[in-house]
Amino acid sequence: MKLLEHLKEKRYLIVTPHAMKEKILKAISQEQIFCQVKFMDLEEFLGHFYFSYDLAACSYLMEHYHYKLDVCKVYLENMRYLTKKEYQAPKLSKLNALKEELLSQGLLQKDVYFSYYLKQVEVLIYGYSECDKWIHETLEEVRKITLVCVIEEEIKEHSLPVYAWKTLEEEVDFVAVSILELVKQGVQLSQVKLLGVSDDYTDVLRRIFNFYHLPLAPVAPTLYSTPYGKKFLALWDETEDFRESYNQITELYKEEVSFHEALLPILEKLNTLDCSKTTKTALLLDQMKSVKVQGATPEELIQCLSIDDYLPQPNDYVFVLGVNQNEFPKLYKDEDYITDALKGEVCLSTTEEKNKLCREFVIKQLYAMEHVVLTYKKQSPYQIYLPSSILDELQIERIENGTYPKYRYSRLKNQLTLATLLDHLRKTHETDPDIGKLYQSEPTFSYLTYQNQFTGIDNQDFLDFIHHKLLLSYTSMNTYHLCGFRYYINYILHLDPFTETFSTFIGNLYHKLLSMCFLADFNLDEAFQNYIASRESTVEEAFFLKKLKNALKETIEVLTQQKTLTTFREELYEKEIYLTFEEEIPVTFKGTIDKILYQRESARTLVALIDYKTGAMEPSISLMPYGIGMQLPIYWYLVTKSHLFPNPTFAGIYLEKVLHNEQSYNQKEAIETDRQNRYKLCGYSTDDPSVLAQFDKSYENSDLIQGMKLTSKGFAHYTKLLSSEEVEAMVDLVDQKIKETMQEIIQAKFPINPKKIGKDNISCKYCSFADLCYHQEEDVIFIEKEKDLSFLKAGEQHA
Amino acid sequence: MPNWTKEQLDAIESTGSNIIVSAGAGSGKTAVLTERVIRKLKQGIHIDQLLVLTFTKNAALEMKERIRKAILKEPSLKGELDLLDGAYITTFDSFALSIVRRYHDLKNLKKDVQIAEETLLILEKKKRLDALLDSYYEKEDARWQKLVSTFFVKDDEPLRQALYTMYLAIDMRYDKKTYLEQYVANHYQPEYIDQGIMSFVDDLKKRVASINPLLLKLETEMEGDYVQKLREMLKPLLASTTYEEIRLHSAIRLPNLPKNGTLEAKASKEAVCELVKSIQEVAIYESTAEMKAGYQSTQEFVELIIEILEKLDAEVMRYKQEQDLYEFNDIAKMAIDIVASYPEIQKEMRERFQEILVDEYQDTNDVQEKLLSLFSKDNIYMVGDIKQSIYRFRNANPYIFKEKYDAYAQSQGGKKIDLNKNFRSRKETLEDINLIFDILMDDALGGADYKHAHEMIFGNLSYSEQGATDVNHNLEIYNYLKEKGDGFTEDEYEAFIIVEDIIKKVKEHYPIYDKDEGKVRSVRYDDFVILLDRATKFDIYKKIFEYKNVPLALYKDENIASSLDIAMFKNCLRLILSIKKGQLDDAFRYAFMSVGRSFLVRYSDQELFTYFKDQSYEESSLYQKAKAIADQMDTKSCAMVLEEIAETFNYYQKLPTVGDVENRMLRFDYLKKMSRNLEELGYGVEEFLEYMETVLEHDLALKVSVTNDAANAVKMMTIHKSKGLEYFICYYAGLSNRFNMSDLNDWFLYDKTYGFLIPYMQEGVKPTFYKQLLKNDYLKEEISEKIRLFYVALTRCKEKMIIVAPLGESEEYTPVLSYESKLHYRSFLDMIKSIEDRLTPFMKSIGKDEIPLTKAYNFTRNDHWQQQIARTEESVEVEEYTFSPTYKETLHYSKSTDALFNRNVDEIMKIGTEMHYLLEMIDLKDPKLDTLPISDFQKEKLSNFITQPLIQAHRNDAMYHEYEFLEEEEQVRHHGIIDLLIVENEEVLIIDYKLRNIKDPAYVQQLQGYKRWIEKHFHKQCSLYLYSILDDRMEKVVEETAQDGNLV
Repeated sequence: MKLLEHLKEKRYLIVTPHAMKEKILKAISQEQIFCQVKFMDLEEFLGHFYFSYDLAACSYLMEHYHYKLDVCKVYLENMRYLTKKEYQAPKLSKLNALKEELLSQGLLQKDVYFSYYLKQVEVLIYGYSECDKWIHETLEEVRKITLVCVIEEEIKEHSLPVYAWKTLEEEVDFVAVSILELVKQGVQLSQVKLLGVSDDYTDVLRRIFNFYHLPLAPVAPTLYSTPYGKKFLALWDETEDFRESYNQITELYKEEVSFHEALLPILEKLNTLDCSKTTKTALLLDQMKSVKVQGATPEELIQCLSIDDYLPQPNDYVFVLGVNQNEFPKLYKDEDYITDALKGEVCLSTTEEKNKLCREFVIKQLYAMEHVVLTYKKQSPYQIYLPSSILDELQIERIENGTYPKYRYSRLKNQLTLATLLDHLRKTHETDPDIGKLYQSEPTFSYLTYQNQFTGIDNQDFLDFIHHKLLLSYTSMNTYHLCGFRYYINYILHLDPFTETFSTFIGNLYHKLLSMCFLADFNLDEAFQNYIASRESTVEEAFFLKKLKNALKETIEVLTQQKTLTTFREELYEKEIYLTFEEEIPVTFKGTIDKILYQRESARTLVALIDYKTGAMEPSISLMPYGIGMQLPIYWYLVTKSHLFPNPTFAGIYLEKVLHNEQSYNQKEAIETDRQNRYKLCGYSTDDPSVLAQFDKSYENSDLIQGMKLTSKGFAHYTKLLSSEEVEAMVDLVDQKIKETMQEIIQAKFPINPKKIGKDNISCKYCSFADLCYHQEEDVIFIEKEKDLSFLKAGEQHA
Repeated sequence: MPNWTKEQLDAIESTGSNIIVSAGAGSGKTAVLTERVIRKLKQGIHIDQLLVLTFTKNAALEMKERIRKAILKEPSLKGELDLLDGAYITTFDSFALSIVRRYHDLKNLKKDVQIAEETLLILEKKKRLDALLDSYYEKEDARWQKLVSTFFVKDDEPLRQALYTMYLAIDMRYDKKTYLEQYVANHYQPEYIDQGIMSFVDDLKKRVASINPLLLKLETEMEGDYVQKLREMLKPLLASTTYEEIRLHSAIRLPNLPKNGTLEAKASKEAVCELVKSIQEVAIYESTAEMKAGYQSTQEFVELIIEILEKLDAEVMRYKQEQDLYEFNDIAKMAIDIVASYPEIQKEMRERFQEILVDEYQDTNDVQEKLLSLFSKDNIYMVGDIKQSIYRFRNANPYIFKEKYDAYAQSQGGKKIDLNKNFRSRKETLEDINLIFDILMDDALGGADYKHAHEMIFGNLSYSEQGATDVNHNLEIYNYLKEKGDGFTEDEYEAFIIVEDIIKKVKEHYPIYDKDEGKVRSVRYDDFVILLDRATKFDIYKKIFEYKNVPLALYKDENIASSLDIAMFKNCLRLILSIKKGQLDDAFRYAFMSVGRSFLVRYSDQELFTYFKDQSYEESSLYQKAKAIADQMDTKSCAMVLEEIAETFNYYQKLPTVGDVENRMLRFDYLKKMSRNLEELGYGVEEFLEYMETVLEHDLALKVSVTNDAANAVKMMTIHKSKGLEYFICYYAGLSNRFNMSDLNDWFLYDKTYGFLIPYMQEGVKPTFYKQLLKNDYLKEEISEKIRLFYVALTRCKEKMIIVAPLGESEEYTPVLSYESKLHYRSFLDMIKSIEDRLTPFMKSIGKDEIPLTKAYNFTRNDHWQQQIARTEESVEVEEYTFSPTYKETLHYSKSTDALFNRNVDEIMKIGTEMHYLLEMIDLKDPKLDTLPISDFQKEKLSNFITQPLIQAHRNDAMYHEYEFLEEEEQVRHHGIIDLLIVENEEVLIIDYKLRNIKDPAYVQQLQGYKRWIEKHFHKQCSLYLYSILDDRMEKVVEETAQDGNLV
């Protein structure tokens, strides 16, 4: 170490980077020499020579001028450059005035003893090459007081190998393997240094080094990023007393000594400040964000350093990653607080000079490293990169995609590489030449062995779990047919994170009140009020409820009006129907029909079923063969099988939308007509005109049923009708589907089998369990809508 | 030196004013721009005196590299290399950021101002809007109640969404504040309303006036009295002069065309009908008085909306300021504010930049234009192509380009140069593009008079020389007929057609001319590109190409939020947090199920069922592992916890079991990166988890733009992504996709020109006449943009372009290419259909039997991969190294504190520190205390120390102040600083200063440690002393009482 040659029987002030101090101390110790030295890094030295500041100066600026902390710091850092009394530029002049103000307040600490001290010592500058203009100026000032010697180690130019890699991953992999090659040759990991590891590398580097068991310094969390930090901030917020908060946190986390040790110095700095809580909190946050808590770190690990902080050592093996343009060396733009235009006035280096110095520094650093390998990448997953222009400048020859023993040191890495190559093979059928040998080396390799499919549960266990009984409804059955696994999650394990929304509450409210609205003693205001009292509403919901009451009133008016359109005089509301089946276990099928209109005749009962909808509705029964969308057929089935009526005769099954938003202006229709139309029944009617005429007096051009129209050639082509044979087939199909469903559930068959119609995955669209089933395209079952309902025609096979 | 064309030379050399260069596709604009920069440098302008703005980061990087290479070729410019690094060759966003960073203090901003994650701000804005609107409900604001109850019955969601969209649009205005402040005064003054009504009525009159020429045309197209009948019927309408008359007389039903009418006649009659219908559709107001009253009735709502937007803006800005997180748009506006408000900054920038060169100028927006205008001095050099302006949705304003182009063409304010020679494509390609856009694009729709000013001229003669081949280089349209109800989508048809065509071309060695190689060669997979207008269909292509074993590289943003492995990690965090909190609730059970079924744990459904049945979760290994993480999480950041999960559950080891390894690792890395970014905002595990859940709940995207590895793979991208790129053979598919124009259906809208468009209630929700005006403009702009998008698509290819479209069998063709008819384009297919007659020579029918349609591609998990592995005897020998960690602790001899002192103690300690410092500084042999600026107290204390007999006795010995040492042993590193070390021949004296108390046994231990080190290294006897500064007392440490030096 060239520095040691300078140390004689004098007092020295060695200005050197902090990391260098340790090395110098070790060298002095090894050489067993007594010498009077004091160490400072450049920042400390400048602080003593000019002035230093602490949080008090920041808090003063924050409170007096309402500057952000960061702005205060920039001002304070730049004040140091102002050594004259006056400046021409308004910006500098303003800063100077601020500096004077702080000085007068005693907030900039001048070391009044420092020049006295300097006179007794010789200043040795070591480890700072390529200092900028202002540092040179400063040293000239120091020389007026004492001797200053800038010591630089001699550097010899030597070849610098540069490896170019297509991807960042390959670049890192090459470095990892190269390190292990060195280890094989006896190099200690502590001798290995990585430079140029920017944020872009963090995760890839940690991941790949982990594959090779190469230890990197663990990530140190900031105080702020941990629950510990959050807790302390909460304590401070509560107590407004640092001592108290500190005592509490140390009590709470007794074991976390390194955290306490990191926190204490911050609090010591803050504790003596006279400023508001807001300012203290801002300062506290800033400190807690900047302090990283490094726990015990292993001795033998690979260090990642910035090239600025790295002091080349003869025994080090250095890898410089990311030798890419705009990254290495770092490029400055004219973005300093004191801009290029003003730098002349304060003797600072301009952007051009800084960039030049930076390049020279980097080049010197590179040549100062005895064992160094440079690498760069052409792309990362997120962007493309160009090689650093410094490579052209140094005329370094690049080694493109060099060879290295990439499969030698990690089985895990090999397995992942093999899996990646197989992924590629599966997709493109292109094989990589290395696949064979990698596969050969991994006889137990478990590629694609994970299966997401439902693997089954013990039938007896299942029956025990459901207490040997089963309740089915249209909704649960529909869910089962959309996807068996979805049913299992929803209705067996009850993992649906369902909470009642305002929308579902409104739906229930409507259903309830519409079931009562034709009772003799019905009072809308009272019933409405009673119902909504069951739920605590937000102010917004309460507002809409008022509005909804009027809407409901309108709905009731329309429904009353609709009554005049039918001769069916009898009605049932919210009719619950239960059917029981004696299978292996008793099964109950439950249905609640919103409205049943019927007309008793001597030999039969004419019946129409209506289900109210407050949201979207899909009246089609075209997916019946798949057990999906069977609500109306199931209700008809329940009516026929429950013997609710003697000889029930099908009049129609319908959905009716009973809640509507405001309507856009329609120039073709009067608003009243428009409103009536929106309440029309949607569904399937009997094709028997005699029944139809009784249910809907206006059926020839219906005011009650959507699309119901009789033309001179018969019913319009868009009118939805079912013949009695079709109704019968429909009932049979429902019966078949219900029985199939019961059997499959009882046997605990819950396959992941979502259904897709064309591009539309109707099962998964509104299912929130994708992160439970992990479904894949292979699980999907393609189905098709049968618009002509051919499955109800005689002779057609049911699906 | 390239052979510049005359126009290129003009574009390189012209100076003296603003210059706009209209550079058509493939016209060599980047080369021209680079050359211009080099010429400037040769003229003595330094590179850092030029501002070169590009549209993307990659473009900036490439431009800088081009300039660097050009400089390197010119020895005289070598000095510029030093300046190049700091030069502003950058994106507009970076440039604005640079201004803000330089003058950050003026806006009281952090210097290192950060750009926020887009998703984070979306959530914050929505959260604040919701809170704000809730407050209107809370305070029962009558205006808000009226607004909501006028239009909504059960929830206000559409209004909330509209307000959010309005806020985003308003936020794009650099004059947002004043605009909102003055909005009502400007937009509800009678003159403004009258003006609007006049425009509305004028528009109707124009439509009426367009009827007559059609009738005249119809007269030439058919005989008989039909036209006369029609004319009679339309007479009152044609004679109408007022709105009321137009409304009254447009309410007619036109008679059907006689059955023997020609196609042309039918088309003309249809056009008349369309016009009358369009009049009926907009003439929905009783009178102009109703129009006025209706519009005026919206004022109270607009006032309220403005109030809400202003409040929201204040809230959002407060959040941004508190967190120091901004959007690029904020940065640009701040840059404008800085430059506009500080004349000295404006002057500095104006003086600095000798020329401002802007690439892709057609994509400039108002904010960017405003900023440039503040410091330019007739020295902007704008390069772009209005025909390729396709970023309206990102607020690009093509009219900035157009207005300048048109003005400079008249020599008003600058010079216009056209670069129409195309060096990219073959002659046939260019001719075909010209043929199409001569018809499709004009000044009114597309914004460029293509036929007269923008036709491309063939410029690359090497195609006809070295590049000559005998294949057909003309456009081809693969026309197929989609069979209804066959279960296949158009995308499937097209993907199969394309993949088959590619396979065929590769197999048959389709020849292409490779300019770089200077020869004709056989086509490879990576020479093909498939362009669609949206990325939603890419996955279908991916699967079909995989099925057909053709490599396909997709260029699209990944949404990692939708991937199940991210959900799995989210559930892992939920599980750990639930355990930490001791809440084994529903959320826990859900997370347990999710992680338990995942590839990370792989429990069977029976195992999971048993845990659920017996509620014995705690017995599971999953619970135990998660608990171990939970127990340690108080001192860990979220990223650390995620790493811990990967480690604990052997995430990487298990990845092969699910495949897609690279992408999964990438997503996990991204997740960790995201959590680290959010740490700055105080996001720990809990907050991060909440964030992820909210993102998923709102169905927001976490987009990652992934650079695709595309070695010998067919490429697939959106037209937008393809801009600026070129490929040998390009397929254009997905033409039948409908353009999304659903915005127009919204009740509440904001438009830059017409402002807030709020409906009013009259027999239903009725739009104001301004909405009708907007509709005209909207359609015009949307269709224009689509025409330009189509132009961008078709100009990507060098060798051949192939359109794949379901035109089907030639039906009745109605070539009406009027402005109005083009406004009916709703897909690219409509465009193609409208010029189908001109494209007949390019048509190639593809029969259904030629398309190997199958659904089998959905199940191509290629389970035969094992058979495809080439068998070998060779294997890999692995030699794993493991490194056992050894820990070394650094210990200090001095006594440490573990409590926070009160302020009095702090003051005393300060005195002690200062005395220590003075004792270190002074020369004990020649102290010169009188020259020191010290207090009497300090002077007295220092004198008392110096005059201590011990010190005096050793005056001539070597003295070392604050002697620092470091020693390493196996497990520990010893560090100490001895206050004063006196070395004499035989003995070393160690003196340690204490403020007062020197009786603490810890001090003795400390000195014993020092002693041990000194004796070991210097082989001398040691005496130990403690000195009390306040008591002026030196005490020798009696050896017998001292214990071994312990370290702390």
